Amino acid sequence: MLPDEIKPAMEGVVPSSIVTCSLAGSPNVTSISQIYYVDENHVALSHQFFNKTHRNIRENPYVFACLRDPATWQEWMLELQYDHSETEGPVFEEMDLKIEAIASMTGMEGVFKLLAADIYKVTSVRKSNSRSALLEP
Amino acid sequence: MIAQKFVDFVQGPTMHHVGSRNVKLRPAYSWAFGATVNADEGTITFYLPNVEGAETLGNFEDNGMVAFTVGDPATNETYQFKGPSLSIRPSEDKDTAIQDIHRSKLISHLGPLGYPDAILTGFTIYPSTAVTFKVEDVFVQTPGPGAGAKLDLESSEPVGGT
Repeated sequence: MLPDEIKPAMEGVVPSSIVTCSLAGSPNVTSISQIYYVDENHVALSHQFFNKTHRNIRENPYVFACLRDPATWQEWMLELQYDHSETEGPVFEEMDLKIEAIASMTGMEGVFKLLAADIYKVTSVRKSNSRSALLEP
Repeated sequence: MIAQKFVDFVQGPTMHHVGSRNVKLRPAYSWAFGATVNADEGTITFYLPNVEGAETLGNFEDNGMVAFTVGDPATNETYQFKGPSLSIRPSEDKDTAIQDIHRSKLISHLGPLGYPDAILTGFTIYPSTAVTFKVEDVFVQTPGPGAGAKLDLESSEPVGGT
């Protein structure tokens, strides 16, 4: 489902935006440093804190995500459904390394600790129409 | 009443993100581009570009639940405002003028940091729809362990809980 051309938007250069919703019906929109490519049908989001996003996903597994290609600023709209969490293994290890790298680039070393790699099934993907012109890569 | 700190932040060179949900509690996302705050009435009006706004506007008409997150891309300082939508109307000339001013502020703010103007000029920001909502809650959304902390809307001081 995920095309190869979306991969640059998953490198963590530009933060992604995600929306979740509680069972009580309150939406929550926040930024996340990176959405990780797992395979053509799955992505991973980092679970670093027991925050509102984490609580919402445990109540209601649906996520809407907007990703941005740092070279062209093409935006991608993804609908996701939580599947499971991993606390070890190659996806977890890679995410842990990248989180520390991103933190060091933004002056936030030591702030973030990966608790789990939350794996999501991609239920839809499309390019956003938000731009009239893309940047030249 | 909305604290002046929030008025300045929302109307400053910040990025605006909108969350909504449908009747099945499926979330949706959209940009907003430009916003004004009526501190005395406790409302925020933001401008939703129509090009990607249909799903979000449909959700507001269905249930009126608004999540509006405002962040400074230079510092990562971010706040989330929540409350019910009060009105939805097509943007007028004065609204698109506010959107142009907002984009100019962002370009001036981010240019010295190395962001090309084309990042912002490439977004289709109008025609747009003006959405006004009543701010009932505000939360810290700056990345880190403090994200989610509830703030007092009038004083901008922490009140605890999320």
